[in-house]
Amino acid sequence: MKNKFLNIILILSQSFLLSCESLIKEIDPSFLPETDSKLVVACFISPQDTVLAAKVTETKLLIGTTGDIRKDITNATVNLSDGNKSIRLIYSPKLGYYRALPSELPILVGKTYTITVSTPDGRQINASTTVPNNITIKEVKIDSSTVNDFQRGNTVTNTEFDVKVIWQDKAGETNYYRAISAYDVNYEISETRTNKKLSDTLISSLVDLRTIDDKDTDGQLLSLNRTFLPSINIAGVQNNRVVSDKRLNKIKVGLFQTDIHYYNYHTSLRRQRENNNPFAEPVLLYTNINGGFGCFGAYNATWQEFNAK
Amino acid sequence: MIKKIHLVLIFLAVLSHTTFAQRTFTISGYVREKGSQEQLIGVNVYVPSSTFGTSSNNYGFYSITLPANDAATLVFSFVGYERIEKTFVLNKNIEINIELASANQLNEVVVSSKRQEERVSESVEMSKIDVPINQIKKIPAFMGEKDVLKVLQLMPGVQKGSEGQSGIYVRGGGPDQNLIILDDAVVYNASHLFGFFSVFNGDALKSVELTKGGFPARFGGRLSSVIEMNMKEGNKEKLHGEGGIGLISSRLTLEGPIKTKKQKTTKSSFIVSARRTYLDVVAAPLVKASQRDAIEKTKGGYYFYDLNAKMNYDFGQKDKLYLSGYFGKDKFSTNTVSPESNSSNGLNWGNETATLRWNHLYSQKLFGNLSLIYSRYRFNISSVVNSLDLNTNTNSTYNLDYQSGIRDYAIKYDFDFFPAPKHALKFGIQSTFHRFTPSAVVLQDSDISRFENRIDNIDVVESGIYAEDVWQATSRLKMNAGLRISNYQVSGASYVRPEPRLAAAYKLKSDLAFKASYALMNQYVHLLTNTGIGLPTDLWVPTTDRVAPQQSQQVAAGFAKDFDKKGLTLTIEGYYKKMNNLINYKEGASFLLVNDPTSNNRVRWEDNVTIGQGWSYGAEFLLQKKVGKFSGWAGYTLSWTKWQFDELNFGKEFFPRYDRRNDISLVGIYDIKPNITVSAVWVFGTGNALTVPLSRYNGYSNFNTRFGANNAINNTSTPVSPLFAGRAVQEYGEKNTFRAEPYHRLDLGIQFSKKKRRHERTWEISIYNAYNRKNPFFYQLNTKVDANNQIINILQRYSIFPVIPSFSYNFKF
Repeated sequence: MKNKFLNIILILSQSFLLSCESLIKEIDPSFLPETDSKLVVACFISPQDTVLAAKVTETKLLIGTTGDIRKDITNATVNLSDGNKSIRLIYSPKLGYYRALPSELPILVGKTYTITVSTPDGRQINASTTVPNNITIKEVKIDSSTVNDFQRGNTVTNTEFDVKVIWQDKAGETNYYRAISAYDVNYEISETRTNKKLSDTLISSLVDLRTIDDKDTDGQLLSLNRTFLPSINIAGVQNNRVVSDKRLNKIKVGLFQTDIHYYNYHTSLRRQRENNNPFAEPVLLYTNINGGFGCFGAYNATWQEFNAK
Repeated sequence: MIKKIHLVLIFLAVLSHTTFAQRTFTISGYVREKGSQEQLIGVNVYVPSSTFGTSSNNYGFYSITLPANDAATLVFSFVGYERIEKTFVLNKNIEINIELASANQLNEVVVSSKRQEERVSESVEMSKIDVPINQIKKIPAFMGEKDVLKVLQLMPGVQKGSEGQSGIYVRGGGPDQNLIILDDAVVYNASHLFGFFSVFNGDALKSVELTKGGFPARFGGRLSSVIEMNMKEGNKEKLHGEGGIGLISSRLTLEGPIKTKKQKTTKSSFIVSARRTYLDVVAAPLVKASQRDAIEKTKGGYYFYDLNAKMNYDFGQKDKLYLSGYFGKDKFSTNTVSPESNSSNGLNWGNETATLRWNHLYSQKLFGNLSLIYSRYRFNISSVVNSLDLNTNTNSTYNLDYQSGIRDYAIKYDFDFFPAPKHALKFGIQSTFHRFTPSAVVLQDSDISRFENRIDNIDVVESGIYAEDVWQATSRLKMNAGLRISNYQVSGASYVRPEPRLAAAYKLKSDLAFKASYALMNQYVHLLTNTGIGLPTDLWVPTTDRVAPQQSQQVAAGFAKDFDKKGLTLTIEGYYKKMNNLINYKEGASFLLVNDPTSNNRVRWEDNVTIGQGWSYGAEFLLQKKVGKFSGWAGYTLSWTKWQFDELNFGKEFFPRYDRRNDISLVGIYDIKPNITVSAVWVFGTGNALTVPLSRYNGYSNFNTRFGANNAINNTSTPVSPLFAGRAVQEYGEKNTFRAEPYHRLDLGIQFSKKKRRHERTWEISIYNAYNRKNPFFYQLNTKVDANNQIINILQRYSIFPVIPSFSYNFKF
């Protein structure tokens, strides 16, 4: 009995070791839901536009394919129409997008525009958007505070800005908003000995103040804000002969009232980017392109400019 | 409140006397197991070939009122126990306690009798499953760890989540929608080791019962199921022990009488049952040896334990007192030491419950029980890093502490009232004071100073008052009609919701019944979970002014048939369930609410959730044999579950991860000889619905903020579009359109037991996943270099459990 028992255990443990060969296996792509390469369109129109522009690329299968997804599709027919008039956007190899002038087809509030894209291989997509109203900025609050950063035993002081844009939501309708802050920083590089200016460059950067809708806050005062560091001083630079001086010059704040497609697309794009959480469900990307991906959206922008204190 | 209860009692007493003028007498008492005096739950007490019948309640009490009779015969029968028939001269009320001998105590002839003592065609309840603890102990188990919840997963209408997980999905509901009660106390997180084992130790349990639909009014607070477990009381005759030594854990149970030498009868007894894993102890020397020469040394450990304890005191026929408790904890820790830093991380979670119960017999017809209940679940992540910068010789400290949990104090009073031959009433009242700690994060960092992100504790009161009546309306029709009124109070909101319940059984033939039921359920506590695999990070949150209670309505109908000669029962049921106000994390959100340490916005968990609805419907088939040389069951489920959330899948309907079209389970237990038992389990299930990326493209945004804005902005005050810069994004298709490969597995087990002089020992060998099926645990994207030397993406399936043999040694004395 005892021997039998030991034999059983021996056989079992051997079979266990044999079974551990591989618990990871590559899955044949045919097991995945069927999909093929589709057109991707990005086109955002507003009454403030100085150029009407559309980008056309295509998707690549994720599994088992190689290739650059940034490669433009250059031979597409891209048409933009307001229901009465249709214009064709022409591809510019230098700029990397299809374009036309707004004077050919003015972008007007309340009007619905349709984009159609077709390629010689027979793929065709379309999408529509309606241009929203302009929105007035009620107030922009810009606060600054100093933050101390502790680097390599040195304390470095930076100035942090908080930009907040406030507006009155229109009651009784669903509204979608996005806000942007743009800031210009002057980079001045001088030589310490002679104090001679070597260069003075203006660099503009953007901060996304994100998107918001009025689903739970209809008719109320809404706001979007974000805190950012326009420039970062790094410890140890003062030991060099050349010193760079960064000075915040201007802050611009833009408030967009957008259509639902613009809003959903940008919101999902940002959330997929911010989703670094291994526990979280993946963020699906919004699209309003029939038969493809990307977005055809409209917005109406209001900008204000401030000189930095 | 007590006044109100009295009024109701008086009203019911008057009702019972006026409606039934015929002379009736009551027979009542307790049904116990012979020897141990363990009270038996659910014993059938009936008059043969009549419609008079009842069953013993959770404390073994029965009461039956019958018309006067010179020779009234009562049968007491219970699965796995001797059947007793008693004849009474019924001209006065009779109080009699019954003792049933268990099958183990009887000779083989009786044991192998094929009589099915519990007839499904007799009871009004449907969608109810109970598994004899004896069977649970014979079914092969993963790593030899017998697990009550995993056995329930083998029943139709009940599904597991992922491989090896103890989470339970009943009729399309999530693991949070199960009311898991152990001796009246709610257990909030029933899993050990990230869900691979459940917290319930079968040695300490007397009964396990799962209800999937047609809920009686006495239960409330969850949408999808009630899993009611009762702990043993402890042997009143002599000291007994039971234990086992397995591959990953050992367990020991002791039970016995508490009495002084002077006492003639035993008034009190106890049971203590403990289990602890010892992977950490075994692994520690190996880990140490492997790091002998490493500069950075890591010590890690993991264990869980649980402890069940119960005591009772019998003041006589009228009053009894029970005190029971459960304490369990999982602890996972690592400690890394290197010349520059010293870090330790910990992950702990655990449940504690305590229940004090007082039974009082007001009369032969009225039984009352008061329960005082405490329950607590806590989860904690801690991380401490001390590092030393060798260049500057400065120290810095980083300290993270995350806590979440729920704590309950509850009071409950339940009555069993048997006013007349054809009525059995239950009514009662319950109030629970919950305190939620959804998440509290404290981060201390000598660089960025202290950051606290504390969400205030939320205190709420959840109450319920209910009444239900099991009524033998006609000789063929029996029903259980009930109403529960639930009430919920939280600052800023209050809910009062009536919950009607109805179940009816119509006898078509002596062994065939048609049953139908309806139940409306409300759930005031929600579980936020990302993975659905029972991680301790799952967060219990209350209903608030912004998040409404979940609600479900379920209808079920089916047939129940007994094959008396073969000892088989067959149930076929169809159900349809609609669920409203389900909550789920938004895409991309998770339990860690830390968004941005520099943001001074107060984080509310409500901002991370979205509200939706769900539908579930299907059919279930169960052929079961509970006793005999060969026992077991065959179950099949065909089901559909759909969800719709405004902020998931762009508002379109989708199949949740655990939607499962086909689910089969076959369980067989065969006693070859009295001392050798073989068993086998085979399961099959449709794969989980998952979201996997299908294609990739560049996602261009308007005013892209990632690459700077020089191109976009002129030096005028109006920056202009466009800026066509983007980043690679993934396209997933619609949510959960990818189906994992089907899951199937065979487990085998064999037990050899032998009676020694002082004890009985059992060797058990079991094989999990006998034919080594590589079942999917998850899928992940990876890259590889293809034949053309290009890097390409591939999708890989990860399995976790190949064939796993295990053996254990169990003993009993």
